[in-house]
Amino acid sequence: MTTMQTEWLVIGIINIVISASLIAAVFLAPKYLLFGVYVPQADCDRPEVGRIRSRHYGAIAALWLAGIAVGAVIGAWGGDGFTGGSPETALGAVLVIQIGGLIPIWRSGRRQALRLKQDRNWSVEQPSKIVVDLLFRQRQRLVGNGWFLLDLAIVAACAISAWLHWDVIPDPVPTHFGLNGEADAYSSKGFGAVFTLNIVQLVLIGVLLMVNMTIRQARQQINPARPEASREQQLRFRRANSIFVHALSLFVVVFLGLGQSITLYGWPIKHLNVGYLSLVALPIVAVFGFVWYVTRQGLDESAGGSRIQSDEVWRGGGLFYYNKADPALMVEKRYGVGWTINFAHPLGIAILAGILIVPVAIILILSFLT
Amino acid sequence: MWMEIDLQSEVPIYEQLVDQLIEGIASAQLRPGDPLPSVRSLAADLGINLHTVNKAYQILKQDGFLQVHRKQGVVVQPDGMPGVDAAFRAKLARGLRTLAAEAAVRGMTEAEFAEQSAAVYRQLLTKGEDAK
Repeated sequence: MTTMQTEWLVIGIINIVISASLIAAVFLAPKYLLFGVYVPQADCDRPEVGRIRSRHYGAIAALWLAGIAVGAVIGAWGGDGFTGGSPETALGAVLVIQIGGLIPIWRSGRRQALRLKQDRNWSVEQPSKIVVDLLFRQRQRLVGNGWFLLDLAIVAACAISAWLHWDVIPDPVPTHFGLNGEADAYSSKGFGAVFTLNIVQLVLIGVLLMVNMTIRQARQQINPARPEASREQQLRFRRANSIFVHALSLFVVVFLGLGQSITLYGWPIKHLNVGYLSLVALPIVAVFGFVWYVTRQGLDESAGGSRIQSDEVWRGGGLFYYNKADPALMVEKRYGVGWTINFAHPLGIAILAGILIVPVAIILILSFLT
Repeated sequence: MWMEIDLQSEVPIYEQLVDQLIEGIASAQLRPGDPLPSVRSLAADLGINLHTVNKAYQILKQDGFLQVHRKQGVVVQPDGMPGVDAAFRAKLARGLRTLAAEAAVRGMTEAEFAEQSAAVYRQLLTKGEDAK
């Protein structure tokens, strides 16, 4: 197999992983949500609901296959047996088709779901009673913020090692590797080229630390019918989330540290290549494994609560929480596991802006440094 | 300690909060110095307005059942609860008067009325033991 063919193969695998994640996200969605519209328990198994679902899921699967077909055609066009062309451009084009195409499908599904809602007169019963535990936050057994010092220690070790081995580091430093494992871009040796990955490590630790603190602050959702069991479930759910977040942080830090060592000390990338790429897939698999575990254990109990049911507070296709009457900043998610932002909260927009601006700022600063 | 808000009740929510916090202290489920959730976090948990929670905390602070610090947050009064003063006696008499009147009209004897209120008082103090 030529280098070019390897690249096409790797890009193809990346696309399959991305597509499979998207498809899994659609199929793992709770039964009581139909394109962002809440379906009451009694109507979940109605044939009309099933019809809307199967029709659009079929369209999504077709879209996914069409995307891959387009990618294959682009590849075949570029040269006999995938020996030329640009796999990265092809991936971009395929993703535009696959992700962009989801929007009209979602809108169509949502339109039909809303029509059915009107026909069937779906409404939500508001709770008459709220129960909370005053000592809930003291009872939480989350990963302490101190554990993130371990992650910082690894970053420090990476940076100090680079400092001590300054003379061994080649000039220029390889900064980008092709999918075949050969360096194809270099920067002149300097602070930026050597320590960039340490800065990225620090930023990611900061983000995940913030996520951990969010878990601590997120509101409790006690089922008034069985408060004790419900509280225990939530405490376990939060602990699982917190452990997962810290494990992810450790993984990312080690992963980037390894990447740094490869570029700086000339570790043999040829042998690492396959292993390194499969490491990329590991967090994705881990996230799905985690969601599966949480759902199977029934830990995400707040799912299906009255706030999840009220279609009026979920805007933008039923995906974004916007509720002025709710003082909470972090609220339970509708799709997936965990918490999301209340966009009606004054801080909500600020956080969204932060999420969008911070990565751009990092890229700009780093490009300036190198 | 569990806190329960009835959204359909005619009793305003801030009053329900005040009553339950005092009950929590009386039954020793909340002890002097125990930290309480911040206004923001309790409002978020209950899904009610910040001002409602703030109002309840302010009433309890004014009466001396809570302390509100800028740094430590809200804690159950650690320096001794307010005593029985003339104002409280007047409040107690007002509350009892309405109930005594209705009890008398319904034909309840004085002894039975006294026994009922003693029973409620005792039950409240042992509630904390049951909750543990």
